[in-house]
Amino acid sequence: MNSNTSAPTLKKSSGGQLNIPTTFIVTLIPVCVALNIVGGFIAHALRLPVYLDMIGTAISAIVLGPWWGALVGILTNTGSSLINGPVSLPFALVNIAGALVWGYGVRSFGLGRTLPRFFALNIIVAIVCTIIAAPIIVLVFGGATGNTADALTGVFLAVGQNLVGSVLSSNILTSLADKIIGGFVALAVIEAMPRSLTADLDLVKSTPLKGILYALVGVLIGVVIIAIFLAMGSGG
Amino acid sequence: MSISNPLPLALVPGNSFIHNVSPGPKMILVVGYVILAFSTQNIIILYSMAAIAFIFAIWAGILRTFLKGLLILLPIGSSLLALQILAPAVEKPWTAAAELGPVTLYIDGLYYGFVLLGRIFASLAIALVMLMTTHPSDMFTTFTKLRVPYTLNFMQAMTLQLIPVFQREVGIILSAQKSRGMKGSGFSAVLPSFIPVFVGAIERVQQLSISLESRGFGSTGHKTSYRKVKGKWSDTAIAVCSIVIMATLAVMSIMRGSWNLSDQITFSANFVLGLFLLVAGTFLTIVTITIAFMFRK
Repeated sequence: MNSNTSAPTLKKSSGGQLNIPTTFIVTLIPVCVALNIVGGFIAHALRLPVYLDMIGTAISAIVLGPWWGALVGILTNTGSSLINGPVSLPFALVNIAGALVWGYGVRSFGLGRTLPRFFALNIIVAIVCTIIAAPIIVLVFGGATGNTADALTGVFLAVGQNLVGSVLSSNILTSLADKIIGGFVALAVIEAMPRSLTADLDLVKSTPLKGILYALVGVLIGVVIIAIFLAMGSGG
Repeated sequence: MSISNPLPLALVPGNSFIHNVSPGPKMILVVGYVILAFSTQNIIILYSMAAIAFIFAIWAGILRTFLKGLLILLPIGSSLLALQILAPAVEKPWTAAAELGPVTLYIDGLYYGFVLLGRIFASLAIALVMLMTTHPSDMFTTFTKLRVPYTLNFMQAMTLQLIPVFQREVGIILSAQKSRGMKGSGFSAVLPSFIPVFVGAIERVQQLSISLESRGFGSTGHKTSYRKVKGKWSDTAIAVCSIVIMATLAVMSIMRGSWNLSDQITFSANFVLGLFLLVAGTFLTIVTITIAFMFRK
């Protein structure tokens, strides 16, 4: 089925933005939330070293706007807490921050116009998310997240880095991989959406994920080297 | 765990006293637990709260599912205690318990580690009891009574309905990949299978949107619910007792400066060393299994 032919015809508001029907928003948001939760569950079940729980947030923030993305972030973490308890509830702040950066980055600052810009935007999202996640991990969970990155936190602690620094160093690696992959998967999905819904977006065409993964590996190696030097420096 | 396993969101059907308590008092209990857990550093209170949640789980006849839900604590708990022994979240100077090669183990962080674990344990345990004994529709009906906008309730309820659908679709696509001789696990399998699920989901949004429009979603007027939630006198009694007990303990904890018992509870160096080996061993086993899964053909 060609989705473009069945898409509703939307009118532009006086501000130049599309008037998306409320019922479309009300249905798109739960779909994005469910995709976040299922993505997170699958990443956990297949023991992937990333979270994959913000792809729906990126889609909604870019297509509907940053604050709709923030709502998806809140509903994702409250929905997760309805499934496996309130452990993920504090991380709603991370999801909200990611939505705002993705949304404003693409819609207000034109960071989705070219491939390098969009890559840089995902790196900014990863950094912002880490800055917000690290204090939550330290204060609520004592530095533990229960995933593979904790082993890296332990290594940084063993070489003399303090707890906050160790959590920041290990979290940024996971976060970079997660947000760059998530951002580009979102881009591919947005490209498949009806043109009438994405007409007001200035977005680059999606690219095969293989190339992005090579670039991601390069970034991760760079960050690992910097983190090791910083840890050794602080350890004396 | 496999992706074909359902998410542990299901209500465990039953007719126990806990099942029959209406969602309102249960929500008050959960919120009270979280507030009390984060206002005290008294491990006796924290682990007593967890023990009470266990009693509720046994009373409701949901112990097996409840214990499965608590498994999430195993990796978090083991790495949390290991990290607190390596780098206590308390002010220096720290008391060394043992040296393990280049690594020094400290006694000081263990109490705080038990506090953090107790907070997560107690909050998770009571939340699981509530979720496993409450019908989701009853919960959303109660939210509506609490004047939460029905659009938000609709979104949350629809999310819970969509999760198993998407989960099944990812499973079907992964199986199709496997049957064509492609990889069925790891990054290279998951990412290509995500795109068709996501695109299919977006196409579904249009159909759902039209059906909502045709059913008059957004029209004004009194909204009714298929399921009715009626409060009983016992629900009120449970709510009042929960509020009084937990508010008293929270106030006492705040007045005693979080009620920290670290001065009265000491751990021997051997206990710290033994516990570190146990939790670090558990966590490294989980990490090894994780890495083995990632590189599995």
